[in-house]
Amino acid sequence: MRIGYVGLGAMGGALARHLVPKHTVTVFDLNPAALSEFTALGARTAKSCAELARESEIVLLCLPRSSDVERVLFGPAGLAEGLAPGSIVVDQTSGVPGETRSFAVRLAQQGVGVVDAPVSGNQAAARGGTISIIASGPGAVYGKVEAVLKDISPNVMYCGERVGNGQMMKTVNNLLNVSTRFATLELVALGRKLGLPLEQLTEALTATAGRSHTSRVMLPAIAQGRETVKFHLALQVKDMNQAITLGTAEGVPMPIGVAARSLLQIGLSSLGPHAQLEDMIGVVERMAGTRFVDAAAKEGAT
Amino acid sequence: MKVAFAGDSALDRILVGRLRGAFAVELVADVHSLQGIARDCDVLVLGAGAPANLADEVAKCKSVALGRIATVIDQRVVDPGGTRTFAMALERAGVALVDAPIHCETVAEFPQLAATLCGGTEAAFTRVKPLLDAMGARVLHFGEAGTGHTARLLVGAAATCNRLATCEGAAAGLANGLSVADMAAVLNRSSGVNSGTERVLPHLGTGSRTTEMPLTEVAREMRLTSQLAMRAGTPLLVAHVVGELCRSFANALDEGATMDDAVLLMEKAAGLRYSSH
Repeated sequence: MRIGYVGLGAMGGALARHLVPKHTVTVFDLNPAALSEFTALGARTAKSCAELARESEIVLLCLPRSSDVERVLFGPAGLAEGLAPGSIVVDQTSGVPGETRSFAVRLAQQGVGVVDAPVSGNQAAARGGTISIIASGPGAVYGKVEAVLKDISPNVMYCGERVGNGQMMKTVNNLLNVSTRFATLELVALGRKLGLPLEQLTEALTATAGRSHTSRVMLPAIAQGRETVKFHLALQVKDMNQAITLGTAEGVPMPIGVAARSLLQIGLSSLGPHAQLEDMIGVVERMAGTRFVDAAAKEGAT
Repeated sequence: MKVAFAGDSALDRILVGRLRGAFAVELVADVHSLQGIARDCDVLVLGAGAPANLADEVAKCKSVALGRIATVIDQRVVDPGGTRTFAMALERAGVALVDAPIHCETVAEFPQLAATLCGGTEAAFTRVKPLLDAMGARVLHFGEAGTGHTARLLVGAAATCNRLATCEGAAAGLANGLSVADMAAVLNRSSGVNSGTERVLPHLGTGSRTTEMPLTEVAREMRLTSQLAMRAGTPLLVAHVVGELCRSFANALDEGATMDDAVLLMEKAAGLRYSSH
């Protein structure tokens, strides 16, 4: 199948590389180094999004924001100029569901189908081909792209005919991940300040209803001195802002999400725009005046 | 080892049944019955539902009144600061304290989703570990007296945060067109997974009971956790917010209500019904 992929950043690049051995893949990105990497893998490169669209039956996108998607779709030399009737756009961006639906309405006028398929997981899972893909869109359109998505990862979850449901699900997932992460990290920081061992606390949380992705995955990584997550803090703030905005726009009170978002914002404002989400571990430690891992233990782990 | 057990909560009754499979157990109704039983028992367990004044009376006891009892196991959920005072009072009577509260939201999930969180000297803990193991839940030792009670508050607070964060996220999802069933299916395979998505989300709006802990008790525990944070000098932003929500729910609902009943308040606040999607 002739596949196009736009957006070869940390996540998009990790997703797109699974398609190169299985399909005729054309890629586009503003970063020449990313393009060179894909050329070496055997992919073609396009000079513009319109050219990429003309060469592709299915075009996948993974961009920072919905505003970037709109520019790539409908801007000068954008995808819409080259997409043929019957082709399909798969948006893997953690975008705004309502905006994606509006893109779908515009593309439908030229006979182009849309599926949204954001991912949940880290870059390592994307590279390893195990990442979760959360897709939605009209069943007939989804049926034509399902096999391609499963070439990226077998963990594809379909959540309805309505375009944008996948992105909304991803938004709720982000909200829960961040809310429970900071609830847990703050409580564990309190425990550490009171002298409780990290390993025991982690085991206690995981054995009980205190458990979460944080207790199962993040705390053991912290204890072992491993990196827990690779993601720009600014993008996580953007994701949480989106979650809060979508919830409160429908009249849902979101005090817990707002508190967690505020912690992220404190981190971003104090660390700067290039900070990583991983850096929030240090922020929580400094706010609590403690360390998750003793300095001596950390030296032993490395 | 002969055990004196005080407490009549649902969990206490399960624990007594399990202990009787391995130990001789005498039930303690009050401080007067303790005095007779103490002559023959090695360990006194103050269960989660032990009479409120019993620990105070035990703390005042002289060694003679405590008979053969060498160790007190405190399974109540109390302020860890008081635990250390209790331990010192017992020590003066030659008795060791092991604080060993259990976290378990519903007896139907005991012992699979439960842990016994222990504090006390290594020697005292080692002495009573066979008894704690016989209760069935995973046993974890954190350090000196009071650390078990501290761990119990932290674990309980994390569980409550998970539950309310999940309800909040589910409301946002519902209001934006997702179904509870789809959210339960997807979130439990994604990085948002937590005990709330696993245990509560699939039952939202069905009327199923997922906890037996009274809301007033949850609110009390969250308040103790907040006080712990204030004394330690840590911010605890998310758990403070959750604690205040629990307090408002407890104030609004009848005594005996649980977090499952608070779902009705969350629906009202969000202007939706979990069951209608």
